[in-house]
Amino acid sequence: MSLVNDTMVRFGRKLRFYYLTLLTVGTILVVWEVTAHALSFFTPFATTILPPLEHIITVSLPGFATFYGVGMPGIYGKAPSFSFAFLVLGYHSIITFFRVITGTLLGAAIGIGLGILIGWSYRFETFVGIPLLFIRTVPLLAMIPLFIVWFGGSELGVLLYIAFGSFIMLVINTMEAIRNVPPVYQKYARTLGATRGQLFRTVIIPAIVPELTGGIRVVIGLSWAIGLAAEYLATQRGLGRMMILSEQYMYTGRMIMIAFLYMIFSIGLNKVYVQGANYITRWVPRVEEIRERR
Amino acid sequence: MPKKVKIHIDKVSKVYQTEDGRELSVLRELSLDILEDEFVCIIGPSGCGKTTLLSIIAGLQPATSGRILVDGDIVSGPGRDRGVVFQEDAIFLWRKVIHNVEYGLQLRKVPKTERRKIVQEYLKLVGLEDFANFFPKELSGGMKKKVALATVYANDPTILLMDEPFGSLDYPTKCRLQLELLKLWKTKTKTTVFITHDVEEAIFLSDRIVVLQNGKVETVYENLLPRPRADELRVQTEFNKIKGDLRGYLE
Ligand SMILES: Nc1ncnc2c1ncn2[C@@H]1O[C@H](COP(=O)(O)OP(=O)(O)OP(=O)(O)O)[C@@H](O)[C@H]1O
Ligand SMILES: [Mg+2]
Repeated sequence: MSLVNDTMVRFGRKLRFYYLTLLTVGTILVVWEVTAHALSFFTPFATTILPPLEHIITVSLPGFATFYGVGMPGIYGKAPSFSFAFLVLGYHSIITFFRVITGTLLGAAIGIGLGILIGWSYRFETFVGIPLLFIRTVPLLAMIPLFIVWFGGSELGVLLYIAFGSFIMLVINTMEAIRNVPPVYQKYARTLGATRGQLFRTVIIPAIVPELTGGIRVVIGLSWAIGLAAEYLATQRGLGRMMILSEQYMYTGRMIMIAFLYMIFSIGLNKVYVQGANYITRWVPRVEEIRERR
Repeated sequence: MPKKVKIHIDKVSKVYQTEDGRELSVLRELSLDILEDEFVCIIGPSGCGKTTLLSIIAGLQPATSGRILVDGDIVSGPGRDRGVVFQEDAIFLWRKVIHNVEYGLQLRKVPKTERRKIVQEYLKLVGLEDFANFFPKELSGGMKKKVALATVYANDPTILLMDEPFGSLDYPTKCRLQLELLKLWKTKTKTTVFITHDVEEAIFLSDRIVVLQNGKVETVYENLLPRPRADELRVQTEFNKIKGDLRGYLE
């Protein structure tokens, strides 16, 4: 009885949540639409400042076909059409997606690995940890010109730049996580006969996982931004390149379209990641609901 | 037949350096012998140095002066001959019950089939065989203590050091776990040092009760209550007489 009730209550809450989300998004879109149309009474550049939604979908979106062949195989420029627009957007999305994911993975692997080594040995701490503290103080965006000099506008440059950003954030995160492992775990393992190597493998590494999954989540989110910044400045391909092309021709609708794509990808990737991370950290005790009831 | 000395505590002192730069003298030339297969309870008021003494025996921190011999060898670090059940929960939250219990065996690379057999045996002894695949977050406080106990026991130390393992539990659970501990101790006898500040618990479990006060042994009480011990003992007159005697030392 109470179980049935509970399920119903939860279902009801979920429904309400979707309903409220829909309401919020709907309101924003209506305000947008009204403002966009109202603008056209005051200025002839209304679609450049804030294009109405139907303009974005029927004009801006197919318009991407005119970028066909830019940074991709094919003869430059097609008449506006949905099919070629999807090809263009699909192509550059895949490139950007690939860069963000491989860059983040590469940076995460090196960052976490090095963080663990720094926690493992004093020698690593002095020779790697301390220089890192200095590198960390250089603003990430200030490194873009350096990466351009080193790698040109190449594929590798953008990928390495994303990897570098993830690396810096995660190496610090890992060092911090190791410091936060409760001492009692280490004492317990040692009285059960663990050697130093075993202590690292069986206690330190599993114990830092929850903190790292949180760190990686933030890093993935930031990787989109870091990747965009790098693409924006230095490549022929990717969504960032599409963004800058749109800007050069003052196609505000297309810029909004790309921003929207970024949003979708970022939310989607985050969702998949959170599912995986929640499974891996299912052993972590958590309070069921700390927010106020809906 | 006089029993062999298992743990020889020889004029051990401990001075802590506090964060605000003062020196805190916790143990003062404490000496004590603990015999083989003996069940010793250490009682004393909060902050008198019980945990400190235990962790020095375990080799988790050095004494400021003095030394501890186990089987005649100086203790210089932790070892699997001395299993510890800590005051706080120490079991690994990321391991299921079964993987917690087999931890020590895994460290020693005991083959899997043998490992599983030993683990099953101890899970059964503490009554957790139905919870083998639970994560610690899915257990009650008392069950977590049992997991720690089973883990340490499965690792087969010769000495068991326990720091107020049942301190945070309710009275009936505590009584049940005390009985289970005595059952374990009877089947697999180990030299046991059990810290508590519960006089009744000390009387129920021990062969000898050591009262600590101001970093020293105030007195050692021979507890001659017959074994095996059952719950009825707790209300008998001899039991209460010992309680009265010990009260005097604890003020
Ligand atoms: N790492 C430390 N640094 C400084 N002082 C400490 C440290 N650990 C313990 N102490 C001090 O040593 C004294 C004894 O502590 P200990 O933990 O051994 O007490 P205890 O007898 O186990 O108490 P309880 O019954 O409350 O567990 C306390 O006064 C405490 O403040
Ligand atoms: Mg204590």
